[in-house]
Amino acid sequence: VRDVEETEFADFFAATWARLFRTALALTGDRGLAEDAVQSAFAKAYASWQRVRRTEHPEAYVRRMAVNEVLAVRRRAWWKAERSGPTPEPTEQRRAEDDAFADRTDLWEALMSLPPRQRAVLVLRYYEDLSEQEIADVLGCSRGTVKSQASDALSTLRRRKAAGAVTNEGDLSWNSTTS
Amino acid sequence: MELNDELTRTIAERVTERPAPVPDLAGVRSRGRGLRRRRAGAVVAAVAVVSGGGLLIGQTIDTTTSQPERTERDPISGLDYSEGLRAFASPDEDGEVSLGGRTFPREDMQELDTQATATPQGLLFYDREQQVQLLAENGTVTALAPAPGPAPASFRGSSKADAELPLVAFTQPGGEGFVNVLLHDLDAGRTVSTRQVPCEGRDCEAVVVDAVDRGLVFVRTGDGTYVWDPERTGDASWTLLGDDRFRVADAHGGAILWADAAPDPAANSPVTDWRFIEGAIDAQLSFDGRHVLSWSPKLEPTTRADDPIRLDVDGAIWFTFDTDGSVLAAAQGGDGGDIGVFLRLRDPVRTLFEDRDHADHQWRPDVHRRRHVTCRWNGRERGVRAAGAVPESRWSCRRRSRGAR
Repeated sequence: VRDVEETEFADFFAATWARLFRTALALTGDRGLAEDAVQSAFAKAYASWQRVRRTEHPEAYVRRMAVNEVLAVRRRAWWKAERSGPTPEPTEQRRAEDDAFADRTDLWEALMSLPPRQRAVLVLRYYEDLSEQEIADVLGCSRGTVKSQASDALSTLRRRKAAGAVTNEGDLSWNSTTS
Repeated sequence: MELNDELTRTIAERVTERPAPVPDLAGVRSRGRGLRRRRAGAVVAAVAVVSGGGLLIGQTIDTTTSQPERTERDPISGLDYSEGLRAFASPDEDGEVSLGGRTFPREDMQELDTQATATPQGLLFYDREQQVQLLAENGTVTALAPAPGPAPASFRGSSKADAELPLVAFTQPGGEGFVNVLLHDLDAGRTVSTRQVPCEGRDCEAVVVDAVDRGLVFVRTGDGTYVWDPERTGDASWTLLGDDRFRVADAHGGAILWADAAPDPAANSPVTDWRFIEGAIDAQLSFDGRHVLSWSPKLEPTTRADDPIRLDVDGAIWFTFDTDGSVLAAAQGGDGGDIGVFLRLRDPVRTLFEDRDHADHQWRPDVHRRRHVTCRWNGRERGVRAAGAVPESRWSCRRRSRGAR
């Protein structure tokens, strides 16, 4: 990497690090894991900087790398859970836990309990404000998959709301007006 | 407050409640340089995977129905198979998969592995339910056969393509005590015949399609390799070619490349008058069966009438035939920077000899993210200029001095 590209990368890094860290934190719920994922994504971006810098949106490119870092770390652990079928209905123990589920702390914990790809869809939609297509690009899947993942995730939250009180009455559907 | 708004607020609050850690630019640079060094060394482990190799895909695929159908996934746009599938992958953890002129992050193509098979009609691969899918040039993915029953965890599908006919053969779990071998006509879009191969327990893992040529399917089983001729009936449709020590490495143009123990075809075998060529198990035959490609730029002839073909490409270590009979070669980047350069050698058997005075038409390079690679043909040195942000771009060689940038 030549001097001008070094400077360019440093500027890009400084401008985007905190933002991407927060996205990774929303995905992992763990500061250490988030920092590792973003550090790894930036290292890969640096290694391929001549290619990354020419992309239309370098930050989006690195964000995708960071998201996939997070998912890759957890892939083995959550794979079976995500492939095992519909999200199970809440157990009695779960219902008891949900009874105390009334504020945003509980909503955060509910979000963190989702399978990572479902969680990623919600974070990218509601925190990063990405469209369905942009989310599909980040996760390397179709828009249909994004919709179904979002639907599953929101259904889970809906069930938990019914069991507890996640939030007040509101729109629990996936907002598919974005494209 | 609506849940959507609640989610937005909750996430924002949580991720900003404490400042982000101090960014470690030096650490990023150090790790990035290490990655670049490792890539340069590993590059060429870059796997050119076509015609018997494997590759690609991994987006979520919906294949829960019992009948073959087009999946609901959005098509992949921009694929171009008109000059071969140009399918290859780089091995590093953030490597890329190239197909039909497009490049994808490998992590997005998790289902593609070395079980995939490239055909002129598209790329065959096994999805997670062991159902065979075809990724066509229009970007759609279509199941070639109804979803199989539950597959044993140890089941590993195999598929091979016929270089002359639009046929592919592949295995699928066939229920207790069987593996099914299906012969599918890609142009007609239908399975033309299915063979149930009986097996028990772990023997079922040994049922593998090793080659398809002229409509005959070479099937390895636990007790030997058989030739399946779907157009014959009775015993003549399933004849022994060799015992369990015999292996078919490849079959094209009426020639069979074999390894290990010698073949011992049954008297009524449909291939008794075919040519048998001993070679390495991981070697490949050219589509006309006249040359062997075996991890070297030198293609050895299989007949006395032919001469060897030397592909004079600097640094190329990995080779494979593309779906149009040309050769894909993988080489290491010349400046130690990013990885892999994949050179495309057009029709080595037919074109390179006949047109050797017309170097511009003899081969065209596909550059896979890297630059400054020296390549030569007929003693003339050529350079491949720096690849830009679009790895699938095709670059023309240009003259330059050796070692110059």
